[in-house]
Amino acid sequence: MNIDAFLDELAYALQRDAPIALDDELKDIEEWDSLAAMGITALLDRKFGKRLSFDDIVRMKTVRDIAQAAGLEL
Amino acid sequence: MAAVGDLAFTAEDRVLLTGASSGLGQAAAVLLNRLGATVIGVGRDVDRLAATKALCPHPERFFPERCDLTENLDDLSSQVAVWRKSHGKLAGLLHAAGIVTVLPAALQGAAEMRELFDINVFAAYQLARGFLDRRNNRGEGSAIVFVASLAALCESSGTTAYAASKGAVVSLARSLACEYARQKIRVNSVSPGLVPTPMTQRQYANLDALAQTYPLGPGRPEDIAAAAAFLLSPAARWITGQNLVVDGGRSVA
Ligand SMILES: NC(=O)c1ccc[n+]([C@@H]2O[C@H](COP(=O)([O-])OP(=O)(O)OC[C@H]3O[C@@H](n4cnc5c(N)ncnc54)[C@H](OP(=O)(O)O)[C@@H]3O)[C@@H](O)[C@H]2O)c1
Repeated sequence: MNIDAFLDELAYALQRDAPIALDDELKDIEEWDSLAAMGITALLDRKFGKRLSFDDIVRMKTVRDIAQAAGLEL
Repeated sequence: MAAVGDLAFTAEDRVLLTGASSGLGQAAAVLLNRLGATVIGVGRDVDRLAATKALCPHPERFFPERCDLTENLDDLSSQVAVWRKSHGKLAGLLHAAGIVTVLPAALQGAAEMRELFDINVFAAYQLARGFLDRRNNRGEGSAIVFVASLAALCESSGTTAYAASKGAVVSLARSLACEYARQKIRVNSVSPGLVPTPMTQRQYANLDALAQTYPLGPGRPEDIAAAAAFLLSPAARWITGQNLVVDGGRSVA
């Protein structure tokens, strides 16, 4: 998956209209909360086959951290 | 059968209990067994069923039955007849098997919802239909309890599909209660608040924090088991079609 497609998946999971960039800080994303983090846990598992714990996700700082966890070549 | 008003059971009181291999169902199996009932405990995992048997104070009155309840939903009511033939007529049905998925609605589509409904609702309905067949139950005084959830009644973001399935379970109990009152068979549901079990430990990342929001503090599987055992017992002979909320005061806080 390329970066744009990944960002689209992320926007869908977060139900976010505004654009998301790799270097966005998660804490600045309005939709980022514990439920969203659970959603990202599921997204990484289902779409990327990466099993991370909820704690792994909440420790992440930026969108890039999620992309790296998904195994994207950055 | 034990006397009216009693919260006791005899070995002739056979309870078909799903979810016996874990969590709330396991606690209910152990309690009912301790109170004198014979428990036919259903689950998919034989090792965990054996663990439940080992916890029972009267293991000779616990009969494990391995079954995936969603594998063949169309024939599940006939499966109740198979169990009745091997164990004898049933006095109780407790459906404690179930699953939950905590995810934003955006990530829970029809497939995920169907999976939840299969075990939480369709299996409950099919088991009840099998149990309510006159050939399979002991008639007057027999009782069904479904484990629903507080999610059926209160705000439950992240578990919308699950909440809908549990709402269906509450309605199932209410309508079946009316349909079978003539036969003096009672049907109720129990709606637990959040209790630590393998399910909730898997699905809720913030379980400890959530438990702090309960006025009476965190609940235990035994608290739910006690409510279910009461509703199955002759002590509840005049209670039917109800949904008993067991949540440490959470829903009224
Ligand atoms: N814990 C809570 O806080 C809470 C709150 C409200 C409501 N509830 C409800 O209480 C019930 C029990 O939950 P729990 O917390 O005790 O969960 P749990 O520890 O995960 O136990 C679930 C049980 O369901 C059985 N099960 C699941 N799918 C099955 C299938 N397809 N066929 C046969 N058995 C199946 C499992 O058996 P195997 O793994 O052996 O197959 C296990 O015994 C559920 O309906 C849940 O929705 C729980």
